[in-house]
Amino acid sequence: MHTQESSIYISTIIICSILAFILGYCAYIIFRLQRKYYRLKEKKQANEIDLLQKERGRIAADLHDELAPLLNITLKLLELPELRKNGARRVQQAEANLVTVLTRMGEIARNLNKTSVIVNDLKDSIGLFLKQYSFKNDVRFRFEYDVTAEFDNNLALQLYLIIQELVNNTMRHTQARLVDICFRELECKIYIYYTDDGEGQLPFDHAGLGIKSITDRARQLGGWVKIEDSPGIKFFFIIPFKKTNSNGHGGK
Amino acid sequence: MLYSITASVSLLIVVPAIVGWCRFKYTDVSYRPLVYLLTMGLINEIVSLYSVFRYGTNTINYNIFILIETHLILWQLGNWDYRGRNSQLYRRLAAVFLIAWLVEWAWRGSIHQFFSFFIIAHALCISLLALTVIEKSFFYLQKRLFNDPVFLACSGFVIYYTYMALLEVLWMFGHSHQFTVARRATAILVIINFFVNFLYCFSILCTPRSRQSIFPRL
Repeated sequence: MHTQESSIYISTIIICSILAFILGYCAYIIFRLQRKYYRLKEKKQANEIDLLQKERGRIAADLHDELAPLLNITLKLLELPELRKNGARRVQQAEANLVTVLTRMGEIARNLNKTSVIVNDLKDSIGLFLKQYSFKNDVRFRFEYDVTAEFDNNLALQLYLIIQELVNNTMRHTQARLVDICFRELECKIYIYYTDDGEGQLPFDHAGLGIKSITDRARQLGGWVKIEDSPGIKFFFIIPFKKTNSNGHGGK
Repeated sequence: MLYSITASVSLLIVVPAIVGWCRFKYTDVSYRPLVYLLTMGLINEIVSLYSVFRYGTNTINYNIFILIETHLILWQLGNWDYRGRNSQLYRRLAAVFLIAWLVEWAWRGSIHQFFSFFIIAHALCISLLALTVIEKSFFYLQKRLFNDPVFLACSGFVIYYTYMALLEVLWMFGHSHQFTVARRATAILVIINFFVNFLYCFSILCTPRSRQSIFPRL
């Protein structure tokens, strides 16, 4: 090789090395930034859950410490003999109603005071939520849950919140009559397909906090989301999970 | 010797292509152009080998391949670029590249010469587009970057096509003394090719399953 050739060759190698170094450094920066972003997101989600639990506890305490004594006093007043003499039947009715209110309030306060949003397992919690919704609305839910593995509480809670948000979006943006929610477990991954037969579409161009929170939650769990472009809402999720031995929320 | 090593390493594209076809039925539709691209790459390598042994050059099939390759990559990047909502730009770019290819053919007057300007332009464009896709989907990428098929494949595109543009410049002006340099620079391409094929293979393995394969009834 000539001297000129070898110098060109060396300079080419130097340029390539510099380029490789710059590319490598860019990749490293991307990697670090992404990790940082997810750490912040994780912290935000943990704070959100913490806040939610605290809020539930506060409402339970308010019900127990402030409303319950007031209602108890009212109940005692209704039991006074002079009131019983006049309009006894109506007073008895009011008394019975108050007892029902007190019992129901006690139940609500106890439920709210529990440490987890999900009471039994994920399937039951979603089933209960859908049942409550179908009472109020003219919508039919088809819920398939083909998951046998148990997974940790955070994952169960996040999945529950995703489904809750999707149902809220269906009610708000589409005129759906039928909603399909399918869960399937395969190779340590949960596959979720949510679809409705509505005509409306989600406002992607001005995507609200709802859609963002759904996709954020799924990605935070290391998952993948596909939103299908068609009338109605069609979301497909793939969420990886680690099998836990006990005290998790699972299928059966 | 250098050619046989380069050819052997290039043929390693068979691995991601086979993996892609094995998983094809289960692969999400938006990721399928990558499988087509790898298959086209494999076909081109085989045809190139045959052409070189038979005619001493692979110019014709390579010129045709880069045109198809450009369109397949644009299709794939269009699918990935913010969930395919920017597809108009990619369609226009595909039309521009087709015109550019025809113009270079007309200008050279023959398909028996490498379309160097087109190669440089398409390589730079693909690198930049791949970087743009990474940048745009940065907050949509998976938590574990090295499990994200978009990040892996786009990194492969950036590395391979940046070097390809550089190499083509060397070949373009390598009529005299720089010819040896260009040949030696091709040797580096062997390593890059090997690494990029590995990235593509991993990317294919990480592609998500299609909804239809999980819930066929819906």
